[in-house]
Amino acid sequence: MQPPKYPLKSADPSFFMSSHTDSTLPSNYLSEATVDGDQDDESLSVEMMHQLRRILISDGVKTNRKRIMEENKDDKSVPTVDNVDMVCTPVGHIPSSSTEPLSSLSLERELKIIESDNTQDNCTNPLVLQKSPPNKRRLTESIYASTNESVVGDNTHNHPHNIIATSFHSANTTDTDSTEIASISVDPLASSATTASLSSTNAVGQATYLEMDLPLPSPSASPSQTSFNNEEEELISSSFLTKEILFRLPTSKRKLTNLTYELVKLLSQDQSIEKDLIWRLLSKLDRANLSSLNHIMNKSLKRDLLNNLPLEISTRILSFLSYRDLLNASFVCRNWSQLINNRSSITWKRLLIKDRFFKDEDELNAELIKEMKNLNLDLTPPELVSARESIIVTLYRNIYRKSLALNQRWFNPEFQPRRISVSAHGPYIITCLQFDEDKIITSAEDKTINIYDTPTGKLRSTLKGHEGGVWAMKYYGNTLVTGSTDRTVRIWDIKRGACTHILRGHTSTVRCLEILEPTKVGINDKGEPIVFPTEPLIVTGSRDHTLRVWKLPQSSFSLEETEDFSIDADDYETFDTDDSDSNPFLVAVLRGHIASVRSVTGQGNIVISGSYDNTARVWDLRTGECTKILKGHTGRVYSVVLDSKRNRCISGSVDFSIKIWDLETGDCLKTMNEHTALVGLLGLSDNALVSAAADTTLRIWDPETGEARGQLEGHIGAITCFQHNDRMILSGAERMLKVWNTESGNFVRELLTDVTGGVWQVRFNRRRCVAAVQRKDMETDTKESFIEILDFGENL
Amino acid sequence: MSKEKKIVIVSSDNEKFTVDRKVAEKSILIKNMLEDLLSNDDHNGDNDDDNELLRDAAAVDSNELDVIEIPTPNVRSTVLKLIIEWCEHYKDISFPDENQDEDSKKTPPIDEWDKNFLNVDQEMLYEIILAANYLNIRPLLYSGCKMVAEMIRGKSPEEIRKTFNIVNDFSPEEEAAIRRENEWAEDR
Repeated sequence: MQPPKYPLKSADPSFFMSSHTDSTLPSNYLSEATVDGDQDDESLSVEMMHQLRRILISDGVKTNRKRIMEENKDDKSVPTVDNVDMVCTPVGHIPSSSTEPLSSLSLERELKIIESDNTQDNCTNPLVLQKSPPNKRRLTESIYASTNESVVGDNTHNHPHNIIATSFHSANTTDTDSTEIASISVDPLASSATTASLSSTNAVGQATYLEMDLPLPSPSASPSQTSFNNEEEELISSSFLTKEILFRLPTSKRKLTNLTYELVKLLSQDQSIEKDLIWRLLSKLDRANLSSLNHIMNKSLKRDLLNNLPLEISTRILSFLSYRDLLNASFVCRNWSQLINNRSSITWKRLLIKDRFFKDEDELNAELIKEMKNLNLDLTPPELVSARESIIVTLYRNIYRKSLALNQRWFNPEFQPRRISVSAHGPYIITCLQFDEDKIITSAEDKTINIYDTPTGKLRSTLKGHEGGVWAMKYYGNTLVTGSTDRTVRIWDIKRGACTHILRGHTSTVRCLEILEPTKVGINDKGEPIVFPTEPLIVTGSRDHTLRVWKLPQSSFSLEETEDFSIDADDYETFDTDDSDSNPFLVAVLRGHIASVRSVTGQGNIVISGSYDNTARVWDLRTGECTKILKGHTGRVYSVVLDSKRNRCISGSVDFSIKIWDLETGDCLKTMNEHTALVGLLGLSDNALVSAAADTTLRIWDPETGEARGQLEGHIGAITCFQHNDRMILSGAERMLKVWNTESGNFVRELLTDVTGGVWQVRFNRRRCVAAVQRKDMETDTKESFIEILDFGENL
Repeated sequence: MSKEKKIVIVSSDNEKFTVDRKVAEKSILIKNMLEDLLSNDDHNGDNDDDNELLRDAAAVDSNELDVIEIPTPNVRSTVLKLIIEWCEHYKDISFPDENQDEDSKKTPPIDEWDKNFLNVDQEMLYEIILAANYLNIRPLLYSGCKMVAEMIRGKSPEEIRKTFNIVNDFSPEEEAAIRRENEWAEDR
């Protein structure tokens, strides 16, 4: 709790001094029964009775704005103004000269009596009443009653009047009115030996009262000052009338309360003084009551935070929650349900990425567009603008639902995906595989490239032309790039199934290639993004020790342009020139390695190459220069990955080690020596670096520190292929295709149990896994390669 | 030169808090105001500024006085005092730039100190969040948001209602409809 601003000094016990010997609250202190049962303890002096009687008679007119509920009369009708006096002082209850204590009206009932017709709601004050329009008056009454109770027995403040006066006095008001009040307080009543004693039970009753009547704070209301009737304002502003009030002593606690209230109003012109008074009144509470009050206050200060805060903050709050929490929250009330299910698409977007169902916003947006396409949804019409957000939330929720279900299927060993097996490339090794929702493309030793239909597995076309095995392959849009032992790079139009370009120049096998898309690589002086390359580039690595950079020839039949395939593939003229120096597509030749280039990767202007000369090199395509030679491996470098986020790269070598390099300095930051054989494959996702080795294991590393996070054991041969993301790792080796959990490193399931040969390639996306495997027939000693398509997304 | 100036932040109820510039600049709003203000001074106030706050602040000629007053008309003194306490605590810690948070995959748990600091009643938490939003103190805003998220996390709808004193206003039909809609998500 924050410390109170006013002198509720808990360090000073005397401040809360209470004379109650019995300050322990009964366990059922909150029950009304307690209140009703102990009323007899309350009493006012005879003399006071006398005074009260007088006041009640003369003061009746001032209660004309008040509704009075008389419980004694059983019916809850509102008495008229005229009978107020009678109602307040029923004969027999307060006989004018009787010594009977004032006991017939319970504190609770009395407090309920007063309800102002014309006081405005002050909804933000949590201490106001719930049942009736809350108002300041009630607050004051409540506080007063508590104060009254707490000073009982205190010799210097033994009378309610004194309390009021003292309170006023201590409120630092120096105007004449309050001075008068102070002096007035020494009127005949003050000399009375009898004190108005209220039992602790009554105070407890008061607490009950507060508890029962505390409102739900109205969250939407803004703080408003209670405004009073003008007549009353005038009455108060006249010091004469004030004096009049003070001379009339209250005969009932209601009157006493009224008096306090009137006096408080006197000070309400200056809010800070009023506040000060309230704080001072509160300071008269003993610790037990303060504690009760504190409890009540805390409860009453609750508010519907999510709903009250601005939307962008609410969505921020929601984005810190899990899916399950969001689900629970949407059951809370209509507003929350609306907020979560209709208004905050960004929450769902963040959740989908946070839960790693999507790598980034781009990937998610692509899925959203796909979803909209599936539903034939067009959100562009202006009449849909208002519903747009709601529709998008629905789509995101749908995507989340699917993603969750898909994920559960992947991780459930019992779930059997729909499987399509297609014979491919005869007995030859399948060297590369890449696929999307539409097509699967494979390249093989047999000099050909196959294109399959992803949903059905049907072979669409076989691309022929290379004169040697195809060992490097990648596609970008509708353009396929391949590299072969025939020393050429070929460009194909995927849709048409035709070779469009033959790029010559390498003098030995093209072993690896990378396509560089235009990427933002920096910001210029004007704050505009610098994009490099300006058009997609191909980088090819060869056994001739060089890398060549080419412009990616744009297919004349791009996906969007036309579905017209009337031009026969055979009629299409393939670009081909022997004159490599004047080749318009050649951008640069990167020379420096002194042995075969085995692997290449890159992004933007940065290219990393790994070579059999035991080094990796960093190239800047803007200059065509080698900027760093990464020396340290003692064997051929088989694999390189770029960590552009940290400006690093990672290399795997036949010397069994993995090294992390700083691209800025060229220094080796860390060497991991845990593998016991060639580290042939490396992969990097946001949260995990994964290496696969010939020692039959895969290992998971922290990409930041290089610390080992897991060792995946279970394969029985050198790992031949793998792919991973932050959720799962799929790995292939002799006769096995396994799924692992990236986060825990635990084995999840086998995907194919009937493979009899090697698993050459494996790729997966959200929905499918596509693998290139080999089946061996031991009896006939024949081998056959297959494409296996595993679909986890059926009926979703 | 300007670094030595004292910043006086004035609450809605006119209470004045004198703080170091370093502390005040935890608020990006104030930071930007100060930067504009001080560069305006350099240009002899050439720029017509339509920012009301800025004009108010500029009313105190920062060249002549060592004090720059910044009004925060949306923040009352009790809240402002807490906000400044937070800024004081973090005055020597620099937070990562904006938009860094868009890496939404990583949401570090709420800072322990902040957790204690924000262990206040809901009304105060509400006001602190609003003030942090208004003053553009992102780390505090996020900590506040996380506090609220903590109040929701792992709770049943009924528990959440209790926490925030919310009344379930669904009709049985509506509740059934939502339940149906989310059936697939029930534990499987």
